[in-house]
Parts: sequence; C-alpha cells; structure tokens
Amino acid sequence: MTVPEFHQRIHVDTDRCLGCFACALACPEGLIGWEDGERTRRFHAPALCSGDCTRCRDACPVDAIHLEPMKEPAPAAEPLCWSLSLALCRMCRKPFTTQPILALLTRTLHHTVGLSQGECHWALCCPACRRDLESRRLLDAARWNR
Amino acid sequence: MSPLRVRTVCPYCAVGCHLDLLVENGRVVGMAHAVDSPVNGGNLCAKGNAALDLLNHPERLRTPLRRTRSGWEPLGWDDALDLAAQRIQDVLRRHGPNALGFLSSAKCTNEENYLLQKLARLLGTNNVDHCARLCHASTLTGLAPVLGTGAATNPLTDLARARCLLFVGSNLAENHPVAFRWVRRAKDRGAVVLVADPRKTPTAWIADLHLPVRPGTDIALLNALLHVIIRDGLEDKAFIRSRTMGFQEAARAVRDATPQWAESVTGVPARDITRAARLFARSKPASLIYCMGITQHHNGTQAVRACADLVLATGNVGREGSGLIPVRGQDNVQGACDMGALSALLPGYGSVMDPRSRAALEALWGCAEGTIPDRPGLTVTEMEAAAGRSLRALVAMGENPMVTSPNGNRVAEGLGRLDFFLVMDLFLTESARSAHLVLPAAAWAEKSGSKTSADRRVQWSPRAVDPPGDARADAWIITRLARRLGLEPFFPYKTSEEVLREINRAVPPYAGITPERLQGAPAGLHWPCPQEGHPGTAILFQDGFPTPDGRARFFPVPFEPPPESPDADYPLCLTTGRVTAHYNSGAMSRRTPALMDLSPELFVEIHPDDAARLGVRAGRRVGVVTRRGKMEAVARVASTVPRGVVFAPFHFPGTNRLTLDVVDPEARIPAFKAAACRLEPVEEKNARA
Amino acid sequence: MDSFLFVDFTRCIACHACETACGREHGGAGRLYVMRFENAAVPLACRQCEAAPCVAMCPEDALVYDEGSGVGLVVERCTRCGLCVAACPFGVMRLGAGPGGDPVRCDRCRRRREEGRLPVCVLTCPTQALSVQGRAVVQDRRRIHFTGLRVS
Repeated sequence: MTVPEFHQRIHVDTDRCLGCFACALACPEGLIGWEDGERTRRFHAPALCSGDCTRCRDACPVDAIHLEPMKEPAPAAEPLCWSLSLALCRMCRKPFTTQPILALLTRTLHHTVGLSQGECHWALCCPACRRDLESRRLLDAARWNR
Repeated sequence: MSPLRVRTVCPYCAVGCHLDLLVENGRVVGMAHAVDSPVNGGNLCAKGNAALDLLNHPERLRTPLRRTRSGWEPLGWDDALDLAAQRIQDVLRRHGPNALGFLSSAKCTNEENYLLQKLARLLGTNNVDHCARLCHASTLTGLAPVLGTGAATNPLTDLARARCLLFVGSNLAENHPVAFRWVRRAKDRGAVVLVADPRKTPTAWIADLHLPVRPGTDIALLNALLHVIIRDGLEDKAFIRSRTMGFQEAARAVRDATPQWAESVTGVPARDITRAARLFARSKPASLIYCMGITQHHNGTQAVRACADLVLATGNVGREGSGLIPVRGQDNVQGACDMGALSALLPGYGSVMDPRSRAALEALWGCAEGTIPDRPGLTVTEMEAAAGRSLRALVAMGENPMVTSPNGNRVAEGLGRLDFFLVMDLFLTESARSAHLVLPAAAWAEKSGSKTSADRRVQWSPRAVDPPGDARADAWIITRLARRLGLEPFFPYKTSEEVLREINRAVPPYAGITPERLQGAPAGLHWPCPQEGHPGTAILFQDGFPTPDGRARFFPVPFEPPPESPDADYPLCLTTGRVTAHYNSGAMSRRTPALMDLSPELFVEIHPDDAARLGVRAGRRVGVVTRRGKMEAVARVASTVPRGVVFAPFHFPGTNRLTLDVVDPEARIPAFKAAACRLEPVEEKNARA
Repeated sequence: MDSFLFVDFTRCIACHACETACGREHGGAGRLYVMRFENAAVPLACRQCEAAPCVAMCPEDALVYDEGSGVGLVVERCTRCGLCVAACPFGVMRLGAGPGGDPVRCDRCRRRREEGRLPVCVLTCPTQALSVQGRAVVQDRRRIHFTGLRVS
C-alpha cells in the first residue's frame, strides 16, 4: 500500500462558512462534497489533501478556509464534517438557501438597493415565489393604471 | 463554411409557419427564424421552437420492427415489406378488401395521403380515413351544402383586417399562438374581440366580451345571436337577397331563441348575448373563428351550420377581413381531406357514390372500371369498432388512435383483436406497441412534399437531411408496399414531385399547383388554383358559391342538449382541449424535454367552489371517472373553468379513455367535448406533495 | 443601439415561445420565466438593475454593471458561490444545470447583439410582448418597478 503524500491540512472556520459550495466546485479533485437534507446542508471534506493548489481557499467568499502546508507526512486524520441550517421560503416553506446566506442578505441587501430592511421582504422567499410576487405586483400596478 | 439554410414548413399545427433549418454535413445543426416569411415573419410558438428535438431524438425508430413473443425483433426492409404484403394478401384472400382498413395522417404530406388512399381504393376498399374525423369532419359535412366548400373562407392573415372577431370554441392564443399575431394586430387597430368558451382562456384575456357558455350548448348561443340580429334588423339584407337562399326558414327557426331563453340554457347573461350580437353585426368586416369546441359534438355538423348562418346573415363572406374560419389543427389536415383520405370522399371531394367522380379517377389511374367501390367505407371510429370483427387488418400511417380516439379502452381491445396491425411512425407510440409490424418513418425535414395549412395555403417543404438509421419517408413505404401487392403499374413514382403532378390532374382545385410553381412560391399558393398561371384564391366566394345555383344556403339549426348531461351519479361535465406546450396525442411533444418541462403531466382544472365542496386540493392527484373509464390526474384549482365543469387536456394517455364515443350522425365525429363525470379521491402513495 | 429587453405583459398570451426559443439558443432551460395567472401572464427576465443586488453581493466582482449594456458576467472570476442567485429580487437568476454551472440569466443574447441581430425571444414572440428598447425607455419602468412604486 502506498502512503499518500499529503501536502496540506484543511481548516474550515465553520462559524464563518456561508454554506455556498464555491469550494466544492473549485476543488479539481472533487474532494469536498455536500448533500442537502430536509433542514440542513451537510458538508464533508478530507482533513488532509494531496493537492498543491489553493483553489478552494481562493474561491471561498468569506475566507473560511485556511490551508496549512505540511513538511512531514502526518498520520491519517478524521475527515471534516460540518452542517448548516437551510432557510425555508416564507411562502412555500421549501428550502432555498442557507441560514448564513440569508442572514448576510438581510443584513446587507437593503443598503445596496437603498431600501429599508423591511422593504426587502422578498429576500425571505425562494426564487420561484419571488417571481410569483413580482408578477402579481406588476399585474396590480397595471390594474391601478388602467 | 457556413451552414446551408433550408426553409421548411413547421411539423406541428396548421398555421404553416416557416422554419429555417441550418444544415451542415448532412446534419441539422440549428435553426433560424424565418424573419422574411410572409406567413409567420419569424415568429414561432413553443412547439415550433422545440421542433428540432424530433430529428435526432434517441427514441426515433431506426429499423423495421416485428413483434415476437420475446419482444421486438429488428428486420430489414425487404423482409418487413414482404411480411406486410403477405399478411395483407392473406386477409384479402380470406375476407375480401373490406376487411382492410387504412388510417391516413394529417401529419403526412399531400402526396403521402394521396398515395395511401390510392392504395386502399385500388385494393378495392373505401376504408381509408384519417384524424380529420376526430377534429373537423363536421366542417366538411356542415359547410359543403351551405357554402359549397368545407374550408376556411379567408386566409389567417385576414384576421388582422377584421373589425370584429368572434371566437366560438377556439382557443387560438394557446393552440395556434402564431396565428394570434393577426388577432393582436386587429385588436391594436381597434377591433372588437368576442370569445365564447366555457373557460377563460388566454384567447379570452384580450376579449372585450367573454361569453362563458356551458359545454355542448353552443348552438343555443349562436341561435340567440342570430335571433337578436334579426330582431334588431341588423342583418345584411342586400347580401341575403342577392347571394343566399333559405333565410326565412332560418329566421323562423330562431324566432324563439331569445337571449333570455339562451341564458337559461347556456349560462351566458342575456345582456351579454344581446351586446355580442349587436357588436358582431355592426362591426364590418367581421370574422367568425371556430374550432373543436364547435365540431367535436354529437351535433357538430349542425353547430358548424349555425356558425355559417351567422356569417351569412351579416354578409361577412367574400371580402377581405371577413369570413368563416375553421382553424384546422394539424399541419396538413386540410390537405389530407383535399386528397380524399376520407371514407366517403375521393380526391377533390367527389363522392364515392358519384359514378362520374369514380370513373374520372379510374380513368386517370388506368385501372379497371368498378375498381373503386361505390359505397362509403368505414370511418376512424367505425374501423376501431369493427377491428377484430369485420375488419381484420389495419395500416396506420402516423396515427395514434390509442390516445386520440374516444373511449380508449374499447379502442385498445379492438386493436388487440386484429389479425394484422401495421404502424408507420417516428416513435414506438402507445398504438405502435400493440402492432405486429412497425415501420420507421421520416420526419418533416427528412422528406419533401407539399402541405396545406388551415387557410388552404399549399406550401412545399423540402428534404433537408436524411432520416435516422433505416427510416424512410411514408411515400417510399407505401409505394414499395403497393408494388409488392401487385400494383406496380399504378405506383411508378420516384419522387414526390411526380405524385404532385398526378394530384394536379386528380384534384381540380390543385390543378395549377405544380411542383415547379410551388417550389418557387415563397408564400405558397391558396387553392382553388384551377390552372397553371392562376394566382390562387386567398378569399373564397367573392363572386359566387360553388353550389348548384351559385347561392349559399341557410340551414335552420335546432338546439338539442348534449347526449350525456350531468346527473346524480356523474354530477360534473368533463370537457377536453389542448395546452400550449403539447400537441394532440403527444407522440412528438411528450418526447421533447423543453415542452415536458413546461407541462409535465396530465392535469384537470376544477373550479375552486367544486374543489372545496369535494375536498379536492390543488396539486394533489384526483381520480376522474366516467361511464367508460377512469384516470388519475393532478388537480389544478382555478376559476378559469366554470362551476360544474372539469377540463382535461387530451395529450396524455388517460383523457380519451373517459370521453364519449357517441358520434355526429353526418360527420361521424365523436362528442369529445362534453361527458358526464365525477371526481374521486386517490390514495396518495407519497403523501407529501 | 437599443439593447434593453422591454416586456409589455398586457400583450402576453402565455405561449411560452420565448422560453423555449431561449433554451434552444443558449442550451438548457430558458432564461425567461412566463408566469401564468388566471387572467394574464407575465414574462420575467433579468431587469439589468442599476443598483443590482446580484452585483452588490458578488464577492469576486464577477458581475459588473455597465451603463450601456446592463449587468454582465466575467466568467473567469466567477466561483459559482450562488450569492447572486440568492440576492436576485425577481428570482430570474439560477445556477446552470450540472455541477459547476455558471450563473444563468438573460444577457439579451449578447452574441447575437454583437452580430447586429435581435434576441431570439423578441423574434419569436407572436404578439410583440417583447421588444428591445433604449435604456431611457426601460429605465423608468425598471426603477419604479424595482422600488415597488407605482408606474406613472
């Protein structure tokens, strides 16, 4: 059996992690995976990796990944595993993003569009329900103008 | 090298849109919008946009298949055609020609329809019919004695010039979206739009007045409209005097059809009926557009005549922007009728009972006198009923009766009893699965030929690519089969052009529509085009009617209620129709991913009040039961259907297991549009939606 | 050149031609969404918002706003984190099918525009519910719609 050559140790700051999957899509080896349960999104990744790239770290939008280079081979380590709560759409109750992403949106979105926080109620809805809300609003506006 | 651009005619509906294929190395690599097309100006509907998927579809049949006990066995063309010929000859020898049946197809070219009816008649039977029997047979029987011709009087482009458009039983916006461009244009120019339909369809969205008529009561509404027009003296007296007969009888027949009476029958408020009648009569020119909501009834022929009466009484015939427009469904349903792929009519609409018509055709074909039988053959529904009894062998070209015919369980039984069932199709359809032999056919862009759209516009659609695998054009198959049946001298054709040249001689209105002219006509040619050099006739009846005295005839049309009305056991009325994403039996559209994304499953629409009363929840499955069968579908709760009515699209297997196979006595069209039904709860296997 | 998609939903007949045409042109599902209701239908597509939430939320500056042509994506910068999709107020953005799909939204057929051709949805629409207009025409409507104020 060949001893795999590990180059770096992966550290994930799970408090920071938004639960997007940029890292998973960035990894050329496909080592980072995730699956969505009913209420949670569960990530798994090896603690050590043989790659010599930093793509997952570079992709992470919130710098939650830290890569520690290793000089000597380390003993096998428990794989990493972390989960995040999914956010349910306020209208249809289906999950559409993670809680941390939703928190980020509600915290920052209204600044960018110049509205009060309360006016960004659509942020709590899934894309399908946003489309529904928006079309109904347009229809109402048209009726108003007739 | 840039790809070659080939202009074809869309394989879906009867608007006849142009669709430009980009061809490279014998493969279709893409599609472009025919912006300069005089028909569709580049517009296409969802189906047209997704049509390419049919050409290289993985499920396309690539080789002849024979059913064996262990499954489908591929075989070569020689073996397949030998087998077909031998089995047909067996039946001929044992039971005679009337034990053979031929289902022709409105999805095939004029040439192919002509060839199939020629094959049937040369074998000695008039048992040749096609799906027009299920959609607009009543237009033929209804209008022939009234106007002399059973076809749209004006081109679809004329809709844009109308001042008033009355839709009866037509959901043009959803079923012929590209034709709706002219309706929208008319509306932009200030035209009045009136829509009579049980449902609030997208066609009704732009209506100035929507008349939500109860299914099966259209005649009462039409009679009441005529009543108001006559009562208020709004009829076109000069037109009636100079160009029609029988107005007095028709007027007498509607004397008691007051709006108040009609309100009690149709459910449409009397005030709206009066308003609609006045708008229709006062806005000239006006067009009346009708479709399967009129034709698919036990009295479809009469309903069609009631439409014609209204148009004649207001003098809306023979001028631009006016007219009576039956919107045919399939890309070549008009042509298949013109070609005589009908059990009682020869090419060019001569009756099989007329010795002169028969003799003319026999002379043209060079066959023995008396070859063509003098009695009408079996219609689609009659063939299905006789299947396995007096009818022993059936050849179906591009038809899927298992899904399209009413009372589907009975159809399936009949087909199962046949000695020999041959299907030519693109796919292994529901019907093909019960065939003994399945022959792979070519799709629209894989063969050349002419097609006739709803407004009698004949267009040439050239071959752009080769069919997949060993698939062949239906014309090739019929010709080869005919030769093996000993009819070699009558089927010498090598190309579609040669067949069209024979059609020029067999079908008088097509006499001037030669292949050379057609291939060089960017907008096609409207029949009648009686000789070479004739420009074609876009608007019919400008001078006279092709009736014995040159006048149109009014027909008094009595109202009678539908044969099956809701009762205690079956308290709701089931009506059927189309959705925009799908096409007829779904053999093509249900295999197209983009269209399945839009409309993935069979559903029924139920009014919220009915749903609440019956405990039906939106998005859940519900059982629909009639006296003939049962199906399950997803419930959609919407106030677009009236109370007491359940709507189901007919593109999925299921719906037509429920529909009524009572037929119109003249047209033999089944009464698809009204059946009594009830809803039943369904045990949910996966309770979570 | 007029390059903004203008939707007059009062003309829409819910035929979904734009959606299928779009899907064929770009591959995958369409980037327009025809929302059908009982009395009308509304085709929705990217509005090219000026103060675009998708642009604001993008951590890699992969989405950029340009006065002349609206929101654009610099594919090389995109990490497919999906924050833009989560931010879009109209739900008209999604990640492309399969793993590693780029964010997908209407770019008014950028490639066709560069060749001087109209977007496919505009070409195919039978009732001219879709058209291309200059920025000024579309802008008013967009801003007003976006902030939830009435169209005047």
